[in-house]
Amino acid sequence: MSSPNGCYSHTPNLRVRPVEEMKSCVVFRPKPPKMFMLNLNAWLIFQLCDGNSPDHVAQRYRKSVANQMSEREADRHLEIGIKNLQDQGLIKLKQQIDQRRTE
Amino acid sequence: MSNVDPAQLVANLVAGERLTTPTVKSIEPEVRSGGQFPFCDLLAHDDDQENERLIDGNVLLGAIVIEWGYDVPFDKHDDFKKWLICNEKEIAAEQPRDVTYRGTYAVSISTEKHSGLYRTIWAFRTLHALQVFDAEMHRPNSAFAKLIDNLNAFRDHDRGADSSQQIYQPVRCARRFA
Repeated sequence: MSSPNGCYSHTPNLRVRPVEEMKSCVVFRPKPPKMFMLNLNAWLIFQLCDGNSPDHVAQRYRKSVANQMSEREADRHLEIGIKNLQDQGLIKLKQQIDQRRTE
Repeated sequence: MSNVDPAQLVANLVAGERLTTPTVKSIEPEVRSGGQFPFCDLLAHDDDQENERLIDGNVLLGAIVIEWGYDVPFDKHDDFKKWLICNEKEIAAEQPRDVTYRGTYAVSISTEKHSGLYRTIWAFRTLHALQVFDAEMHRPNSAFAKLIDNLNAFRDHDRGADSSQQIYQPVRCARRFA
C-alpha cells in the first residue's frame, strides 16, 4: 500500500518581517517577486507550516486557537489559511511516498 | 530587526487577540514622486515686507502650510468633537512661536478617496518654525506636545485607514522645477 505523506515548508528565499504593532507579517516572495501582508491568523498558520506534517500542523493550530474557536471552526480556518498561503506560493507540501508492503 | 523568535512572537500575539479569517493580501507598492517645488522661506525674500503684511493680515496662511488628513473611527467622532471643542483654544494658546494651529475640519466633499475624513491645518511663518514645532514636540512636559499627542490619539491607526499629508507654500514665492 502506498500512502501520501509529507510536510509543509516555507518556499525558499522568502523574506519574512513581522510587524508586531500591526499584528501582521510582511512576506516577500522573490520568484515571482511580490510582497504579501499576512494577518495574524495567516501568520500563525505560516509559522506552523515550517517543516511540520499536515497532522502536526493541524494539532498545533487547534491547540493555539482552542480558547477562541471550536475544533471544527479551527479546521475551517486552517484549510482557508493553507490554501491562501499555497495559492500565493509561500508554503508548499513536500510529498513523500511511503512504500509499505502488505503481506 | 528584532531578535524575537517569530513563532513565539505570533503565539504571544494570538493569545491576546480575537482571530479573524486568515488572509494573505498582496501589497501593491506605490511609488510617489518627490516634490516639484523646493521649500522657500517666504519672509527671507521679502524686500518690501509685503509678504509679511499678507501673513499678518491672514491673507496668506504662512510660508509653509501643512495639512494632516486622517480618519477617526465612526464611534469616536463624538468624543473627538467634544475634545476639540474643549481643547482647540488650548492648542492655540500653547502653540510655539511662528507655528499656528489653523483648525481641524471635517471633509464634507472630496475628490480624493483615501485621504481621510478629517483635516488638521498648520501654518508656519518661516522654515525655521518647522524646527520649532519639532523641538516643542520633543520638549519634556510640553503642554503643546501633550495636546497634539491627544489629538492624534483619536486617529484611526488600523492598517488601511485613510490618511494623507500635504505641504503647501504660497505660489508667489515658489520655484517650479518640473
